[in-house]
Amino acid sequence: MRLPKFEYLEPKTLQEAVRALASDAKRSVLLAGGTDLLVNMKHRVIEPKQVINLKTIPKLAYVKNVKDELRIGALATLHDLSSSRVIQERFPILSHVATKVGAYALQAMGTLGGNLCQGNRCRFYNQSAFWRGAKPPCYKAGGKLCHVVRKPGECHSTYCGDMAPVLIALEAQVRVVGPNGERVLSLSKLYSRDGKRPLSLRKGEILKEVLIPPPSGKTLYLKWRRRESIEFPIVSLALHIEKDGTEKIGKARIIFSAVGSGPVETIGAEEMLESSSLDNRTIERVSNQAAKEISPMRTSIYSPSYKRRMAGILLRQALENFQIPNPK
Amino acid sequence: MNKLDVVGKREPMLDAWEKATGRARFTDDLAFPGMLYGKILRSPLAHAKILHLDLTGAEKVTGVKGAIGGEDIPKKKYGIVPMAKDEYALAIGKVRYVGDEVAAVVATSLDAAEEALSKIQVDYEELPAVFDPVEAMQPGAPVIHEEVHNNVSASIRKEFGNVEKAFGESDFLFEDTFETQAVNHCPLEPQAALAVVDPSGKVTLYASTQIPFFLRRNLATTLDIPESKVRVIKPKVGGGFGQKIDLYAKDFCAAFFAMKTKKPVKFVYEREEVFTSTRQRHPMHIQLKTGMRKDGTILAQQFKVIADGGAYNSTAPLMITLACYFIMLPYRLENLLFEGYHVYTNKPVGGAMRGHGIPQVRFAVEAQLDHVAEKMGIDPLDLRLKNAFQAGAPHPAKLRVQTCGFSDTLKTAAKGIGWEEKRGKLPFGRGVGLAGASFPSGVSNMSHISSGAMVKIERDGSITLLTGAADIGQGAETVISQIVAEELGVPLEDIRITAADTEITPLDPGTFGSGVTLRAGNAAKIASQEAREKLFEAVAEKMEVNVKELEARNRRIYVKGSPERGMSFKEAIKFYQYSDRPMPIIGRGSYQPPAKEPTTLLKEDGNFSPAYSFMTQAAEVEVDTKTGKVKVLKMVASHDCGKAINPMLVEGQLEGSVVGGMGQALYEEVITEKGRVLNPSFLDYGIPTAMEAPSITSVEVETNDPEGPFGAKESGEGTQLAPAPAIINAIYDAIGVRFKTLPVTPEKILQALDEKKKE
Ligand SMILES: Cc1cc2nc3c(=O)[nH]c(=O)nc-3n(C[C@H](O)[C@H](O)[C@H](O)COP(=O)(O)OP(=O)(O)OC[C@H]3O[C@@H](n4cnc5c(N)ncnc54)[C@H](O)[C@@H]3O)c2cc1C
Ligand code: SF4
Repeated sequence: MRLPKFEYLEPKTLQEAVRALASDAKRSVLLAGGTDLLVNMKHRVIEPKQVINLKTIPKLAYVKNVKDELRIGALATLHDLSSSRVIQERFPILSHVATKVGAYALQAMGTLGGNLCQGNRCRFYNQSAFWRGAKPPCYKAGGKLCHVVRKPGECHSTYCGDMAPVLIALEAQVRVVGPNGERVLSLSKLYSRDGKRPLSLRKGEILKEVLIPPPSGKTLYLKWRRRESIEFPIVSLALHIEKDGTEKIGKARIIFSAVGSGPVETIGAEEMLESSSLDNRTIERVSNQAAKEISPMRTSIYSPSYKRRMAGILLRQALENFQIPNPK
Repeated sequence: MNKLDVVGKREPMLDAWEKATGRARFTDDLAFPGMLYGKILRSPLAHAKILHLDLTGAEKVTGVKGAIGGEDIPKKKYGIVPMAKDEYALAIGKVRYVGDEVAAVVATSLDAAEEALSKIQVDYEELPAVFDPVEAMQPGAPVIHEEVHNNVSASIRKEFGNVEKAFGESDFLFEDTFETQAVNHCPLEPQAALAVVDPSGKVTLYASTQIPFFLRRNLATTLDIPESKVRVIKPKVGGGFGQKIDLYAKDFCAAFFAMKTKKPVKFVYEREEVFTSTRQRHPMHIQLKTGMRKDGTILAQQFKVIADGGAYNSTAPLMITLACYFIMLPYRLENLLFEGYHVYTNKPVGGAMRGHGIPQVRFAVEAQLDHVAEKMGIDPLDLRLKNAFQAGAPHPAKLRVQTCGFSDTLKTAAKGIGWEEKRGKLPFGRGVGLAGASFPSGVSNMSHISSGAMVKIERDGSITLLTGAADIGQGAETVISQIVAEELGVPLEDIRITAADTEITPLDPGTFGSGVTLRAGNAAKIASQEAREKLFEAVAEKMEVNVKELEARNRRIYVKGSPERGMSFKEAIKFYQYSDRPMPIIGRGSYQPPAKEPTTLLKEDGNFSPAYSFMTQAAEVEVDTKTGKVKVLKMVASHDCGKAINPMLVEGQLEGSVVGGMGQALYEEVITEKGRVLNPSFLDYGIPTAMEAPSITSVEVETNDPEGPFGAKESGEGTQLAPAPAIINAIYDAIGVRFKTLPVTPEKILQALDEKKKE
């Protein structure tokens, strides 16, 4: 499969990139590692007029401590994350998760920014032009219907990224740069939960860096997939727990990937956990609640009921892991 | 047997370094000046009439040098089994599955070729399609091929012994139904072909193929040109597993366009095309009834097998026949009634895949045997040992089994996995299982199945070997070279090999049926002996000894037992030359397996293969009962390969078979929805990776078969039969659930555990 024709730009600065992007936002795309974008372009679901390469812009691939905060440049690769001393020491969970993305080659090419901004997925969308040719194009591919749910106007494509759930659990923020300057928003707010346009970035905005507050509590990430390599999650879970000084749970964050149009936080389950103690009954109730709270769609070869079930199982396992005095 | 110097040694594959350093050249690495790139337009519909095909849009694209449909290329059916030809290079009149070939274009760049495809207009009239083979057999089902009644394009009904009587005499009867899934071969190198025409009009096709000579023949007959005008060269091939014993549109289209445009033309398939439009393992629906005597003797078995063939035949008659006959090995079975159907559906096409029709039925038999053993209170290992076939025993279908190490493979595999200590004794969630099998070492008795070799002794003492054998990554060239080196008493590094070029190398049927080592190995052995004899005659004259007293070893020729009485290989060549003997020294060998009772099995019984391999694989698994995930911890693969010419390569085959078996048992399935493949990529189709690979122990059981070169039998396809059922049986031992439908995914395990809880 070949790439469609496009104009190619190598801006020297982020400002230049923002200008180029803003000038024709609808028909332009940003290229980082390309591991997500280029596949979609070969499949002809994205056919941009202009490709703007971010990798040629210097100094966007850093990992550094600024006071207590950790800052990661959007162009840092996943391999940078897993091999960075600083991250290994302060946020070992992040290096761990980076090694769970796809396979090694993808980690070497793929960037954190690209991972967070990657496209939503659907079994009718992430297919070649030939494959899609037999059916009329779906809503996300520019058509007028959805092959998953027959409700008009809505795309249920699924966010399957690995890094976002953990970073949201760590309360990360992102700094974006646009025609009107910079703004900082919580990572969770980056996602619009609209399958067709899953990011809330405004016209001409580029993700510049990820900001992570000092670590507190404990974070766990469980990724459920068939094989230990290559694959996106069937469903995955980031769980973050902080004790309240006693034996009770002070703060809990439960975030799933691959079960909705963006990372999915199960607030009901979180509330149930907070100020409870981690006894078996609570674990059972909370996991059931979380499984109920999500509403996966049939956007992959796995059924929604299976995803739901595995979401509950993963949460149970994660919580049980916290019952042990010194969890992994 | 004499001590051997090269045969039996762990020699790295001759081209391992080339492959490891990226220097090996596969078809897609080849390029010629002015080369055109080809692309194929495929049907988006599962079943449809082609009302109109308009190529003008494509022809107008800049760079396009040709566009054709089925009407523009000679309308001759092709097929790998002559009696089952049912495919045109490009569809004529109608398409029968999503991915069927409709048109082809060539252009000066791939971009232009792809663009041209999008400009082709096809008007289809959609026809009702059928996706389930059982439905396809019903009266009134959509007709996929006009001339084929009820979509059954090949069938077999055979009885050996008297099954009804034997069931009457049985103390226990067991009946089960099994289902296997579609599995793709997933060779790392996709199908490719590059055709070049010389000024005389001869076409040379470089192709990723397992069967250069069959490909030559089919190209000639299909394109209506003499065989002498076609040359097929096989460059390095990145795996085949049976998928490349077939012929594809890319072969015909490359050759056709090269002849038409007088330019080199290359076609390379996308991974998606490999999944949708090449071949896959036939899904099978298997009903199995077994009659047992109280003492554990398998008295009779009755099969009804429905194989989902997809839209075309490929090897259909052979596949269903093999499934039948290889029920009667590796266990004694006097009474068998086998009813088998190959049924067309509007789906991807079934074809030969490592084991060829046998793995599916073997899974059924081996899974059921474990159940039988349990119900009868017999250890599954003992049950197998009790019924194990023995060398020389009469066979109901007249297979002639001269060597059989099956019992030894059972014992060594069981010992390796720790059967005694573990079976039924591990904690819940952990278990061991085993399964046995047998496979032919090539096909005896189709008269065109013979191999040739030529061995030249060069003046510098090096050896040039010409063989038709098609090495597709398994190491055939290495093994055959080892045989030659051993016979001539020179180290492996002295051999230069040229292989699989229909113009230069002698005839060879190719890589299928696990026959290469035995057949091409024997041909090379005979050729080496002939060349050696010529040299020996000269040396004998000079040394005034009898030729029979001479021996060649370590680059020397000397009187047996006294290495000092002789001369170096080079001196011998020099003497040969100066004694005015005709140069060059050439030995020729042709080998055809003995054909005492000619048979293809398609029409009559008889000895199908010169030798039969036997094997047992044992598995230890751990089932996570919370998530349903199975981890294969360890596999022991014990294989009677007659004699391991190169133990490292046998291990390679066994290790590959374990991972393939894991795929079949746990991970892989070509999922279709209304005939459309849902997971046509390595991302969505789950072949196990290195991360899933268990610890593997290979055991070579050597039985030194009289027919094999240095005693060798097969260790290729056969190795693929036992691992999947071994894993399934281990899962039973672990969690007490018998799975009869493959693959056993974590989802199915969770469901089964739920149901078990309810009981
Ligand atoms: C076989 C395979 C397996 C995969 N498995 C996984 C997996 O297990 N988990 C997972 O999370 N991902 C997986 N991926 C997806 C992808 O490889 C990773 O998410 C990777 O991190 C993407 O990074 P990239 O730099 O290559 O992104 P690109 O492909 O360059 O970009 C992805 C998208 O983000 C946009 N973008 C990139 N950078 C920015 C920025 N700074 N600001 C705004 N927009 C931006 C691009 O325009 C594009 O739309 C897989 C991909 C493949 C092909
Ligand atoms: S959910 Fe519907 S609209 Fe969205 S990508 Fe899938 S088929 Fe298209």
